[in-house]
Amino acid sequence: MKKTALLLCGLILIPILILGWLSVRLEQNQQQLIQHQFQALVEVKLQSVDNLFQGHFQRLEAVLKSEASVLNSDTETSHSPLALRQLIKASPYIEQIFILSPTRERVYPRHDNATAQELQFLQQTKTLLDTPTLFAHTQESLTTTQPPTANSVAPQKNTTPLQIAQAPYSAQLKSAPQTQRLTRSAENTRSAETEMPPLSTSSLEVVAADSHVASPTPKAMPKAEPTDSGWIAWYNNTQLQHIYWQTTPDNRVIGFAISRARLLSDLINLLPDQSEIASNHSLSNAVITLKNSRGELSYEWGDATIAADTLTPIKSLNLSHPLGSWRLDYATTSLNKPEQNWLEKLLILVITLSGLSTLGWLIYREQTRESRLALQRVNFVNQVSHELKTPLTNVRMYTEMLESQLDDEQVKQKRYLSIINNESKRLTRLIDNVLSFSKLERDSLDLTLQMGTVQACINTTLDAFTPAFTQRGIKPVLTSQCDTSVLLDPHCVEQILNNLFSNTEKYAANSGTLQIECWQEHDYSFIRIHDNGPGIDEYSSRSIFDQFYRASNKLTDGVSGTGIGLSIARELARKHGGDLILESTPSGACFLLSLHTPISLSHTAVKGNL
Amino acid sequence: MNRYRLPQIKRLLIALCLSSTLAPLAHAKQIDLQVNLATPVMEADRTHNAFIKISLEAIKQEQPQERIPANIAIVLDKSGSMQGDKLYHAKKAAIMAINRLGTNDIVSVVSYDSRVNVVVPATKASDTARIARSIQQIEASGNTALFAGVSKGSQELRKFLDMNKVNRVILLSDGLANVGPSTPNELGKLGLSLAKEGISVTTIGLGLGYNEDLMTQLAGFSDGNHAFVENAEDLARIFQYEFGDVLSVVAQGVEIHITCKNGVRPLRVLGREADISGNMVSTRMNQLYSEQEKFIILEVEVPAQEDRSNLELVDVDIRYNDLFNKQNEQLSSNVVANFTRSQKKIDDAVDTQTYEAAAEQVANEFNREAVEKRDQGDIQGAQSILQKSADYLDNLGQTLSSPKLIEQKEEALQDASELDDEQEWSKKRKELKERQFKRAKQQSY
Repeated sequence: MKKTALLLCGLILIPILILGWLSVRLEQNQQQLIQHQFQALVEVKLQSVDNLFQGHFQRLEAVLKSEASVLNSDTETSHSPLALRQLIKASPYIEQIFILSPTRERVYPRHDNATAQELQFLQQTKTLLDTPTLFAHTQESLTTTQPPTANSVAPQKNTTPLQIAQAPYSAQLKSAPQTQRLTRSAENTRSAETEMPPLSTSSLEVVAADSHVASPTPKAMPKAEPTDSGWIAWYNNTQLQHIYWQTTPDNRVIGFAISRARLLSDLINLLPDQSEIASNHSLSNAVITLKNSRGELSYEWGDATIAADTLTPIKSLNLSHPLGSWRLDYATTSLNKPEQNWLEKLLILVITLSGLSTLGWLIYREQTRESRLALQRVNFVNQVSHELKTPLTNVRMYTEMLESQLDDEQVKQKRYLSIINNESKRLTRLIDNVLSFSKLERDSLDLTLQMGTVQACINTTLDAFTPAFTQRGIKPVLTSQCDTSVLLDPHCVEQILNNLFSNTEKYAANSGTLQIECWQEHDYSFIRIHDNGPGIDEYSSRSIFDQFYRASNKLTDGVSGTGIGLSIARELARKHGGDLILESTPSGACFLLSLHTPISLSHTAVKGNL
Repeated sequence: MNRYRLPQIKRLLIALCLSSTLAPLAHAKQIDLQVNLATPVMEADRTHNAFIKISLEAIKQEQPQERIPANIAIVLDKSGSMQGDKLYHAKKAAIMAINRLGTNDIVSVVSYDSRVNVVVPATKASDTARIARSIQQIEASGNTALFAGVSKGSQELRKFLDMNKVNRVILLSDGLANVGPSTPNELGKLGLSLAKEGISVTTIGLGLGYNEDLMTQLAGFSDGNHAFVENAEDLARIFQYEFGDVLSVVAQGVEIHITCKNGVRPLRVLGREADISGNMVSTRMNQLYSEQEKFIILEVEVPAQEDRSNLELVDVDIRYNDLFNKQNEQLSSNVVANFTRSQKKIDDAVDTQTYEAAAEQVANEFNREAVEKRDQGDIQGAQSILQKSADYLDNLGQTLSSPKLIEQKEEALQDASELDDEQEWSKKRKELKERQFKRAKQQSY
């Protein structure tokens, strides 16, 4: 029963474990896939913000270009400090303007005639303005540094960016649509995006030391034809600042320093506010933060229920030039909640487990019920057998008493009595077999060893069978060399022999001689019983020791039997430390019984090991 | 005193010439320009430091005129510190103020904490009930993204930005900006940029937690107003004043160009930011309010002159956008000084009002320096500056027999005595900053 239970447990647990493992793997793969997709999606989202910013720089560039062209158009008074100051005053984007002569000498602002603001600007940009190579970029660097934005225009070498000069323009009150129109018209004149080399550590130290200018130098000296405009991003006190420069037709350089605060403000205005997010649900469970070159938070937008500072970003995007060193961080909580999926899988596992368990329990119950019933039946048979034994004993005893009191001449009565006696013996054997069978089944049969000879056992059994043998034309011939007294269980030996003789009696009627040999070797006794009956065919010989097996119908026609005799005989022989085997002979059936029969008690230990 | 001069900038030549020659025929001038010298008669044969007051005042009109439409963005701080009474009063004040607006006015409401929320996008102020409902829904939490709040507020203004409207951001904050740019300098730069577009930012500091430097710089560079409100109950009153100001604007985009002549050297401009380059001084005011005088004080160095000579010191050029006529107007004026050896003539000629105004601004500068000293921890230095200021005011007050200056002297002495109170300093500093701001900009409330 225990075994069955264990088997059932295994049967339930193994599929569950496999299922569980598979679902874990599946879940992991799915998570990875989702994460990859998610990351890609986030990247696209962040990239679109970057594109938005690039668009702003393009618009700004167009605005500044038109400003420059207005300044350039009137060459007589162009670049007069007054006009420049007027422009600085009027344009919300421009913080300062500088002009470099064709030899890259600074023409404006001049130290001798500068306002306080201009002086400050000069101080900050001293190194920058003294590096004329910054304002001439090669075509190569141009192509290599073109940011991969969707709406950026392919770089064109175009040295006359004055096509939109006639557009009446005022920097004041520029509305967004107007700016966009300008951008479109300026697209074919768009020329360059330039890249600044990354801030080296040494220049960073310079910044830290005097809090002024980190002077970047171009990677390569310009050899090819210089382009005519570009963005310079430079660090002032670790804050990123921007200059847009352009060469004028008379080969001057005009540069616009962009108001940093205004730039950030404009960039922020390109980004959505909370009500926009709430209305289009674009960022559920996520926050995007814009960090400046110092890593300080400049702006954040996203799900109102999430605080950005409590989450670690899952994706960061460094913005394109000229906002390099700025970055966007995307933080979200949605990836941290796979419990839902787990729950589902766990539920499936639990359901499968409980289903299998129920099934297993039902099977187990069915089985135990059946075996209980079988046990009850065996017990019943046992009881009945026991109950039968007592009256049978009485029947035999009184039959024998009656037989002994009969006169010799009462032959008829004597014959009847001997039949009664034989039949009751047979019944006794049958009952003994049934009892032994049930004992063997329960493994509760114990041998009662005592001193005795094998020959005595054979004789006792033969005596009992003599009338039956005589009646059925069987003539037992005993060749015995077993008169040594050994330890054995006579009852057990007799029962084995009873079964064998009873078979002979049943199946080998009128077969003549029944040879019974008996010999002893060491601690073993052997008995061979060989009849001359029809024998046992090869097919049956494999199964004759199986319980409830009965040989061919033809043979058993008219012969009663239970089918347990030989199996009990073998079990008993094995119990007795020996065996019962069927030997092949040319005629009849030949059984060889071996028994462990030690000569003294000290030898029983040996038997225990067998 | 008015005299037309050739404009120096060719770009504006034609338009300005037309408007300046035709304007007087078509309309009555809205703005009166006065250029006065504190000491019109100076001692001969020595150099002088002279104060010139350039004042602009909208003239009261005979017939009532239509009000100039306003385009207002109210930017409310809803950070965690605003919770409770503060936000309640702020909302109430904003709603009350919006109810004053007419259907031609545009209003938008932006709230900010760590992030920015456009509560009411720019819209005509006709459905005030709906706007009020939206405002009522604002709840406090989070940090202070002041920069982004102002940015988004000004973006709302830009949707209907019009030079013929009064474009104003009204910022209310009670805390330090801690998301995004947070230095006075950066906010000042933003203010400057907004001013170039014709947007002013009025900053209202609530309680004792805000950064008064940041708020005054933002308001100063964009030529808005600034107010320090200690108790939230006063917010309604301040909003009323502010809206009163906004609704009384008559001219915008006032540019002032001063050219010093005849060897006169500009030294400094008191009160307002100005660019001084060589002999040129330029500055601007974003707007002029009805029946309010706005002025700047220019200090110049006048070279020594002979007895009984005349000298033209400065030429003043004013350009502004007249909101009623929707035209650019120009005004010019100059000032001439006389030189004499007679002390009596000098004394008699003193322009008391001008001198008073100049002295007020000088003392205001002293006050500013004193706060700087106090910030460095030098309480005694600050006190001695204030003492100097008091002496200066006392001296002038006696000579000019001006009760206003004597009053300011008392104020300076009072300030000096309160400088060393560490606990009250935060509040005192906000008061001082507010007062300096109001004096410098001649704020009406």
